[in-house]
Amino acid sequence: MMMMRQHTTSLPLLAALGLIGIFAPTSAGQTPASGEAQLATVKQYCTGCHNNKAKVDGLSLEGITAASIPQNPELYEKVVRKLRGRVMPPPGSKQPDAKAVESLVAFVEDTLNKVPHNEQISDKVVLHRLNRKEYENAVRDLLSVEINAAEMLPPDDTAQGFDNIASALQVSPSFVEQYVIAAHNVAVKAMGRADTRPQGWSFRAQPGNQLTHVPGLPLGTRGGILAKVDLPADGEYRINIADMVNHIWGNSMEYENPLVVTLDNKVIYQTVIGGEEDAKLYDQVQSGAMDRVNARLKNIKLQTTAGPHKIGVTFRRQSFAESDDQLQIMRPGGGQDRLYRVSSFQLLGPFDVKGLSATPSRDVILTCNPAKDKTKTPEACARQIFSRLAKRAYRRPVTGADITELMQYYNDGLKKGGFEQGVRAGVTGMLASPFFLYRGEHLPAALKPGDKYTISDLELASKLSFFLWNSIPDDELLNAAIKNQLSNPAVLERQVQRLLADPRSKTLASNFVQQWLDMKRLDEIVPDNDVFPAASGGMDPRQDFRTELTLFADSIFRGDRSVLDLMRANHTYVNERVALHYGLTDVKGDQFRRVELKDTVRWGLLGKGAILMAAAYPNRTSPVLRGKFILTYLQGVPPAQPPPNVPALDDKDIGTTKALTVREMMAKHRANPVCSTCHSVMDPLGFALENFDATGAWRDKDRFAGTKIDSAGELPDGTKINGPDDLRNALLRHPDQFVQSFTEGLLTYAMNRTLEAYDMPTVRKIVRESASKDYQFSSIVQAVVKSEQFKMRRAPQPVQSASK
Amino acid sequence: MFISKKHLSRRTALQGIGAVVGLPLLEAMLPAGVASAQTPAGKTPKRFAFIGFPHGAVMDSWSPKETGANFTMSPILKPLEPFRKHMTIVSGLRNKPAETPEPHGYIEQGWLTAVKPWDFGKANPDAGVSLDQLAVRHIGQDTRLPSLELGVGGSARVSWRTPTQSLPQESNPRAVFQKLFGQGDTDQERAEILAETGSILDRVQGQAQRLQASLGVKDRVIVSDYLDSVREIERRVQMATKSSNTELQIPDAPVGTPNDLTEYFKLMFDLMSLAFQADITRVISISLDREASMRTYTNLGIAEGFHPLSHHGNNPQKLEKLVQIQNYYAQVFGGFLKKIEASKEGTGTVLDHSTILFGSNMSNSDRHNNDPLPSVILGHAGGKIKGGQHVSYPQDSRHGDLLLTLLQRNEIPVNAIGDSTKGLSEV
Repeated sequence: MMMMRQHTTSLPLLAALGLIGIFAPTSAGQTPASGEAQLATVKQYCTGCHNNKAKVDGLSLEGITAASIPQNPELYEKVVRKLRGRVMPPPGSKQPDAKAVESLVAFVEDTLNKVPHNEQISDKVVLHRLNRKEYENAVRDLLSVEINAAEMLPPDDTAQGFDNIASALQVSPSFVEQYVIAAHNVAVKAMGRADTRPQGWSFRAQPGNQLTHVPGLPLGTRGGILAKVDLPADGEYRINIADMVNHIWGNSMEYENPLVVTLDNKVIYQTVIGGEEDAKLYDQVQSGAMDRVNARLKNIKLQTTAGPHKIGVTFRRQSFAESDDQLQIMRPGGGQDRLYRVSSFQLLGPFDVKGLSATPSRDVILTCNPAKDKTKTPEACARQIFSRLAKRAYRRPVTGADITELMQYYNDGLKKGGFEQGVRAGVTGMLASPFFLYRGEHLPAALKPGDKYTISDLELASKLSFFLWNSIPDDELLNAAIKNQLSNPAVLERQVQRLLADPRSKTLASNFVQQWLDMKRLDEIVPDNDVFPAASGGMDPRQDFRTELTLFADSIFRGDRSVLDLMRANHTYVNERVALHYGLTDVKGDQFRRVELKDTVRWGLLGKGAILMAAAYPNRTSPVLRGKFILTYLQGVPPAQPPPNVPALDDKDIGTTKALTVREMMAKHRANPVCSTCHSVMDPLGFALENFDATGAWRDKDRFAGTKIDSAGELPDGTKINGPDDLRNALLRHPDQFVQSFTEGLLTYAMNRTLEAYDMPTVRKIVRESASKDYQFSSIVQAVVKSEQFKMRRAPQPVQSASK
Repeated sequence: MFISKKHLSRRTALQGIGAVVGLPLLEAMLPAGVASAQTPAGKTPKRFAFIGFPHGAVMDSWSPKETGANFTMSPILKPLEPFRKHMTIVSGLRNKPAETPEPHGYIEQGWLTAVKPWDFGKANPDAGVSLDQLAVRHIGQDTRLPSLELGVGGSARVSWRTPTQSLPQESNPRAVFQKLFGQGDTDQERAEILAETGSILDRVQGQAQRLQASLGVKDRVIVSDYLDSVREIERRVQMATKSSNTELQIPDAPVGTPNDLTEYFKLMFDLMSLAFQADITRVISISLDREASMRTYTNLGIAEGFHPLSHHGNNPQKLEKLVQIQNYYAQVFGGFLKKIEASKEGTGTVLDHSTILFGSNMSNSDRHNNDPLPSVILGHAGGKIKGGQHVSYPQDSRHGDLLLTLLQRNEIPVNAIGDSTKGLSEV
């Protein structure tokens, strides 16, 4: 196990060896000599602690020779990772000069690169169950139906932070059951059903007071709910909106709230809640007044067709006076506290089913319809449909046996409910099939254990599309594989470029990047309402920050720019809310758009709200978490876990009630010698970002202490930095550290297995070679695809009692 | 069944209390058929239900005049007359530690905790964990759902898993149905899905064997694991097919929330009795309305909002209307009692084995006070609660003692709730 990310098993051996890659020497291009001079550096500076007697942290380097390195690559990969970061010798002890370290790292890496081995070519488990994101995307690409797999399937386990690692994707009876039921539900959703009973769907509003426009609803509206729904049949549907007039004193009646219901952006119903008439009714009649008003929100009928629709319940926007209440409750946002909001609504139906109209998914499935084409028998149509769909679902040419099975489902359904039900049963069977749910790499016949071979074109096609699209191959890729054209390097390269240019490759930003940077952590950082009233509750920016990060990374990837631009690009994507959070005042509306950033502190990942928030606490910043984030993800040198029984930070000075700044709290912490070794390296990185508060907004003062933020710090080599710009520039002075960390993540995601010590020579090779192209994104992807890890396998050793 | 339990806890561990994956068919269906097999022989299951309502009760019309066994049923509790021998009316208790100057939205939080919200977690780490959730810690693992929280028309914060985490109440009957019974809206649909699942599993095995043939040995192991899982599900399908037509009739899934209030109440109480009968959960709490509700009980001919009405100012007409609403609560609650009384279990009925608290954490709604509280216990905790009596306690006796009693009668080892450390021996 390598210690790539903090998810990995911790390493007792090198625990408390620290950190940092900022001062990494570049090893590229130098061929060191025998190594005697280099290893003398070890003897001079390392073995004082790491000798056979003291064995600090369980490590002795006393016997190190040029010959001992190849014998223990796993150990020396760890050592060189730390050396690159110049963690050791620890700050405060006698230091070798930069040149000596550089030369030592180059020598050790070069020695490791030359160790002949085969483990990087897996003979391990490659049978890969579709995880739920892959399932969702595959269903979308296969049947043109949008599903939310998180509502249908159990969550997937992760390894090294990724959810697509084959060995972690276990299966249990519960999984089988849920995948079978999901197949049934997806098929019904895709095809609709004319014999459906009325059903009910409930939609709830996001929190907040609904004074502003909701994205997706017509312009000129405020608040409300936009619901996306797949309807099972044509017919009448009814909407019941939750009561609005239920305020304790009924005083909201004073103002008119013009309510509209929209179906696919057309107004189908409107009424007014409140206003003079209603207020009079309430004042004078009292009894039953509210019921009469609320009755206008019930039983709203609409006629519509099967398939995907958007239903909106919202208000026309009107001008209003600011409320006095704003002065009392000190809550930002402004507005008028007596305007109504739509809290929820229910959609019921279909009543009086009229049939099934064309929908995108029915068009994709029913490419042959005996009801319309009299020249075809139902059976011939079913065969034609299944042949086409199964080829894409199973990602290979269909066999006679495949069709026979699907026709059995068809006949079951046919008997119960005719042609359509037969096709639906076949689609259900197809989605429940292990050929759909599992990606398998077949073992060619006549191989001896240990033989290396290249995976087949078909398997390569699947591997490629799941890597770059997180989904099944399209017809073009599949056909190229069927014709065995992917074995041709030029064709393969062209296909990779084509897949990268396709919008489906956005999953590299929306899925890979989010997992690589552990953005799941954002879920837990619920901003504290008391500390951040303008960035919590209804104004919680996390979802927008995620969108920004995805759009930003996608612009680098699909623009095929240098991956270093992730660290330094001077643009980003914002809507009005994010813009205001960043202090940009000229962006209006909910739509995200690209902006050039004049303010250099926002450049690259270090200025992005998602990153700044994910590495903070809900109520305050944490220079430690930010320092750790930078080391782990942006430098690829994860710090060791802290020792047990470390007390939490005390936010008050002992014996006084004076509030401490985070810097003062950390200074107390570093006074503890157990903590100081690591923290004196880690903390300055985070302190450089202290002007960003825990929600990523810029601040000049510490809120509690009332003092000016001090973002100055000193890096281990003595470089003085002050603020985000200095930090970014310091990191960019050693670009290969970032690129190596990025490549490690990307290779893991592509291989569907965990990254190990024996993969490091490949990682270094990819980084080295892409350097000549300024680390252009596609050059790294192409190199990953060409790697032995991606394309090759070894025939496994026989395992006794393998099959039960 | 124990298998599904295992997987539930796995999911819980994986994602905490976040989004809940839609319940598949079999996990939902199996308990219905095997409920009685759940509990070791000789041990009857313990069940709890907490039926709370806001705005207190008109106490003169709630408490019977006489104590002991021969009391005359009060106007509000009249609809519970058929269950007289199962009921213990407990009068005179005060929930002092939960009294708050800030009533609405807070009062309900102290009903089952006997602590005021801002004191949650202070006296000890469990201060503020509600009675139902204390019970769940001991009996929740025996059923597929540890507990069920329901609301009629809204969500009140009654049930507290920890002093900082209240469990939201589900008010949409369709969502409740799906939580209980999973896929398939009707018997016919469920039967169809079962049949289809059966044939899929059948064919999948053939496919998996074909897949296995072309794989390496280690991959073959994965397919074998997969096949084992498939066979396990096949076994469950067969069990479910056999059991789905026995005893318990599962109604068709409700379409959504009915507009008619009586129908809505009936639906929620029916789902509760089904959850008990099918042994899907043994702990249920439900709020019949929200604090400060503006609901108009037009079905009773009352067109005023409930909350303004509750500030009755001793106006006889208003008091009469309040009695009418509270009497209506007793009626709809009675429907639930009738169902679980009719449900035989071992030598008794589901009602015999249950401990049900019907009441409010408010007394006089005009003054928002918690003294004395209206409380009635239904059921016998499997013989440990005698029933058939009205017991009355002197001024300032503790509501917490009653809460503690309910646990102790069910042999749940909890020693203190709120300010209470001992039970009520008379109950």
